[in-house]
Amino acid sequence: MKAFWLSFLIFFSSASSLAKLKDNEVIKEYKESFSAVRPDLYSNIHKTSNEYWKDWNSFESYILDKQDIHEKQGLGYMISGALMTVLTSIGYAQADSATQEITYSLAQSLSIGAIGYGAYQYYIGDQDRSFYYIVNSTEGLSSAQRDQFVSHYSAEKRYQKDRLKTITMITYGLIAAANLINASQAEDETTKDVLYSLGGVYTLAFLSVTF
Amino acid sequence: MSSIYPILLFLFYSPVKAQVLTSEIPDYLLEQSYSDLSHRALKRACNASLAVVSTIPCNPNSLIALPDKSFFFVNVYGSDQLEDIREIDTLFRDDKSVEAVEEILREQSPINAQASASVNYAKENFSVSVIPIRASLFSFTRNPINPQAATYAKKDREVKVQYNFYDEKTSGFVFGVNGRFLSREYVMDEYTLLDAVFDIRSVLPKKRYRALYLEPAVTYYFDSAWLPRISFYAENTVLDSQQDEDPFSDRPYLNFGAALNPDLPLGLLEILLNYSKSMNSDFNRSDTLRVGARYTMGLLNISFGIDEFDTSLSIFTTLWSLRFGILYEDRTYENILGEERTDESVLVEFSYIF
Repeated sequence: MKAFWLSFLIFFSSASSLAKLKDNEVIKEYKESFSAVRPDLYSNIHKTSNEYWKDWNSFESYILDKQDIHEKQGLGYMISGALMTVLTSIGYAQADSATQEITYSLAQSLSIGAIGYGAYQYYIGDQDRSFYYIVNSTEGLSSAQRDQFVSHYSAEKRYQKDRLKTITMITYGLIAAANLINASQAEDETTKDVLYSLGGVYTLAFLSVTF
Repeated sequence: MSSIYPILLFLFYSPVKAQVLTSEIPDYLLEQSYSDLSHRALKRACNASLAVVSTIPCNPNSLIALPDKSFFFVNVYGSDQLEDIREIDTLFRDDKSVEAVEEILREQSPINAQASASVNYAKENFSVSVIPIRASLFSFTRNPINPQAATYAKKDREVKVQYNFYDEKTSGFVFGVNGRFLSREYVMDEYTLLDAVFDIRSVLPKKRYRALYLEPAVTYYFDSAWLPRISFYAENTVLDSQQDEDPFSDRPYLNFGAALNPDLPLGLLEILLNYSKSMNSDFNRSDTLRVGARYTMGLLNISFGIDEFDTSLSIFTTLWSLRFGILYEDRTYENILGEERTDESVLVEFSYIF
C-alpha cells in the first residue's frame, strides 16, 4: 500500500501541472461552443479588443481570426444538421408515442434550421465581418481614417450593447411582474401555480441579465 | 363463475398486509437524481466530464468549461408516456380516490415514469439549481384475478449549489463542492383493490424525507493537448437527514474518474471512465465501473454510457436558445427470485437558455 502512495506521489510530482487552465485549447473550445448559443457569452479571440478596437490593425486581426472560427463552426453545424436530419427522420418513423413524435419533429426542424445557420456562419458571419469588408474594399481611405471608422464603430457597438441590455432587462422585468400580479389574483390553484412558476422563471431571467 | 371471486375475496379479506412484492422494486430507482438527460446517459461516468450547453454537471469542478459570463436556463424532462406522469400526482393527493388506485391496479405492464423541471444559473465557478419538482413512479401488478400492486413513487424538491476554486497556486488542481438540500415525499406500498375500498387512507401512506448533502470533489488537469484529468468526487454524502428513512434514498458513493479529449479535426470528443465504490453494499450496484463518451459537433450532442447493469444513449440538438433531446435507457436487474429482468425507458427533454 505504501508503494502505491509513493508511486502516486512520484507520478504527480513529475507530471507537469496546468498553471493556467483557461489557456488550454480544449477548455477554450468548450467555452467557444457556447458562443453559437449566446454570442455574448464567450469569445476567446482578442478578448479585450472585442469590447473596443483601438485601431484598424487590431480589428482586422480580430475579424480574420473570428472568420476562421465562424467557418469551422458553420461547417460543424452544416454536417451535424444534415446528420441529425437523417437521424430524426428515422426516429420519427419509428416513434411509438405522441411525445416521441413531437420531440423528433421539433429536433428535425432544428436540424434543418442548423444547416441554414451553419451556411450563414460560413458564408456571411456577422455584422463585424460585413463592416470589415465594406471599409476594406473602399479605396482611398488613409490609415488614420480607417482607425477613426473602427473607433466610431466600436463606440456604436458598446452603445447598442448597453441599450440592448436595458431593453432585455425591462422586458423580462415586466413579464415577471405581469405573471406575478396575475398569479396573486388567480383563484384556481393550478393557474396560480403555473403563473407563479412563470413569474419566478422570468424574475430569475431578469436577475441573470441585470447582474 | 368468475362473479363469485369478488365475494369470496371480500369474505376472506384480511387487512394485514404482507410486504413481499415491494422487495421486487428494482434498485436502479436509486439512480434517478440527474438534473438533465445528457448526464443521466453518462451516469457516474459524468465525474470527470466537462460541462456542455444547458447542463449542470454532477461534479462541481466540471463547471470550468462554462463561460465566465453567467447564463440562465430552464430544463424540463420526462417519460414519453405523459399519462403515466399524471398518475404520480394522483398518488400524492390527500384526497386520493379509489378510482386512482384502481387505475394503477388495472395496468398489466409495469409503470415506470419520471418527470423533472429545473431552473438553473451557471458560470465557470458557480451554479445554482432549483428543482421545484422531480417525480418518479414505479409500479407493477401481479395476479390478474385479484390484482395486487407494489408501488414506489417519490416527489422531490431540491436546491443545489456548486462552487469550485482554482488558480495558478493550485497547479492544475481544482477543488469544488456541491451543497444540496433535498425535500422528498414518497409512498411505497403493496395493496389490492379491497385494501383501497376498505380504507383508502391506509393505502400508499405518504412519508417525508429531508436531507442535506455536502459533496466534495478534487480534479487534477494535466497540461497536455488532450487535457487528461483524474477526478475524485464524493456523492450523496449526507450531512444531516430527518424523518422517515426512504429505502430508495440516494446511497453515498466515492467516485474515481478519469477522462481525456482526443484531438479531432471537427467536434469535441470526450472519453470517460469512472469507478464508483459504494459506502453501503446492501444492494446489487455496490461497486461499478462505467465507461462513457460524449461527442459534440455543431448542434449535435451525443452522450453514451455503459456498465454491467445499464446502457444509455442520449441525443440532443441545440440551436440558438433551444435544446431538444431524447434518452434511451436499457437496464438489467435481478428480482427477489433471482430472475434477470430488463427495463427499457425513453425520456425526452426540452431546455431554453435565456
